[in-house]
Formats: sequence, C-alpha cells, structure tokens
Amino acid sequence: MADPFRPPPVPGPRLGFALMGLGALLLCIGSYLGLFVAPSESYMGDVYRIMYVHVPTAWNTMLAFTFAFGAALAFLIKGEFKWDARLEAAVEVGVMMAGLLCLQGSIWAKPTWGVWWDWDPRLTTTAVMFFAFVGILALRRFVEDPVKRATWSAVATIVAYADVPIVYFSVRWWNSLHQMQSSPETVSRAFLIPLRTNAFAVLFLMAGLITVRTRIAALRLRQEMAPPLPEPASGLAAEGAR
Amino acid sequence: MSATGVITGGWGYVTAAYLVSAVTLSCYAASVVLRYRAEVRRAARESRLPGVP
Repeated sequence: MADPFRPPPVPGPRLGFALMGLGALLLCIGSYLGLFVAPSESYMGDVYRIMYVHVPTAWNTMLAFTFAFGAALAFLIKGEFKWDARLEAAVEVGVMMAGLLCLQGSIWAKPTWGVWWDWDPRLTTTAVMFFAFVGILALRRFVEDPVKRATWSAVATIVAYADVPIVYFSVRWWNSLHQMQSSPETVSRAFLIPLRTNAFAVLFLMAGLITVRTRIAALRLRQEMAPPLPEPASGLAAEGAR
Repeated sequence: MSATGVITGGWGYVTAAYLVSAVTLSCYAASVVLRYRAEVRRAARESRLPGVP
C-alpha cells in the first residue's frame, strides 16, 4: 500500500475545460437536431423529444457511478489519494446527474403516464441510488480525518454501487411502467443521430466536470495533509508582548 | 392525449425538460469552475506564507 499521508498530485485543468467546452458544443448541436430536425414519434408525438436529454443523462449517470466504484476499488487496493479525489468528483457529478435524471423523467412521466412520480421498480431503484450516493457525500462532509474519510467512503461507494445494476435491469426483472432499453435495431435511424450526439455530448461534459472537480478535491487534500505551520519563536512572542 | 392514445402537443413539457437540463448543467459547471479558481487562489496564498514549502 502506498504512503497514506502522501497528498495527490494536481496537474493542470486544461483537459477538463476542453472536454467541458466540447461537450457543451455537442449538446447544442444534438439538442438542435433533436428538437427541430428529428421527426415526431408515432404515439408520443413531440413529447418523446425529452428522450434526447433524458437517455444520455441516464447512461452517463450510471457511467459516473461506475467510475466512482472503480476509484473506490483502486483506493482500497493501492491506497493512493488520487483515487479518493477521483471518487469524490465522480460521486458529486453522478449525484447532480441523478437528480437531473429524476427531474427530466418526472417531466416526461406527466404527459405519458399521467403522474409526476410512481413507485415503480425503475423509479424506486433510481431514487435509492440517488439517496445512497447523497449519503456518501454527507459522510465525506462529517469525517475530518482524510484516511478514515477515504476508506469509509470507498467502502460505502462499493455498497451503494450494488444498486446500479439493479436500476439497469429493473425494467427486465419486474413489471414496470418504464419502458425497456431500446437498441439500434428497435430505434429509427432518424432518432439515433441526435441521441448519439447528445450521448457523446453528456459524456464529454461529465468527463470534463469530473476532471476539474478532481483537481478541486486534490487541492483540498493537499491543504489538509500539509504539515502544520511552525509555532512562532518564544523570543518574538515576548517582544510582541512588551 | 387524443382518443386514439396518441399524445398531441406537449411542447411545454419538452421546453421544461430542456430548460431544467440547461440550467442544472450550467449552474453546476459554473460552481465547479468558481470553486476551482477559489482553491487555486487559496493554494497560491498559502504557498507564500512563511514556513510553507
């Protein structure tokens, strides 16, 4: 195991900002294609256009939590704090996206299901996933010791991640209001191009956000692990008192 | 929704979903950039303190 008191390196953020910019640009293009170029859907009319932001958010939320799971395993195996910084970043970005996913899904549910929310297997397991990872962020706020915080949040991430495959397979395992996953064979080509554009857009945006957020976590860890400032010399203190 | 089960209209929901997504992603991205700048400034300030290598 590596020295647990060695702070993580903090490389520059250029790659992160470039990925964020590329993601934002692609998201504008994909959303334009999805809103104004793609045809209406036979049964859902124009409401289906929410898919172009909802589905990429869902895919990338699960990807962010999968990265956090990998970072948790890497920290526990290698003991390097760069993995703790990556875990913190991926969990925070994943929580933001999971919250957005629930909002988008709720807005889509109202015109199609007639309700904003239903305790259906997909929605319930997604809510459990959201709150489990919010709990990990809360845990990190309450533990001051960097070693304990990193170890406990890595273990908690591995436990919380058990819900992610359940979210994915919930629509296959149980009767769900939520539709099953589509594949390129079941989706018209006219719908695929904006969907894929936005999927890559959200992927780049998420990767950029995780990269920059990792730098923030690494800088904070360096500050926490820095040696304490030396005490002022007693002679100087006496001089000041006089 | 019409009697045939086909949903008509619904642009209000589409606009709401895209607006919520744009606002959430923009605000979070802005918060990450601002927090990064604040951390870099703090780290630079502390590295100038006496006794800190």
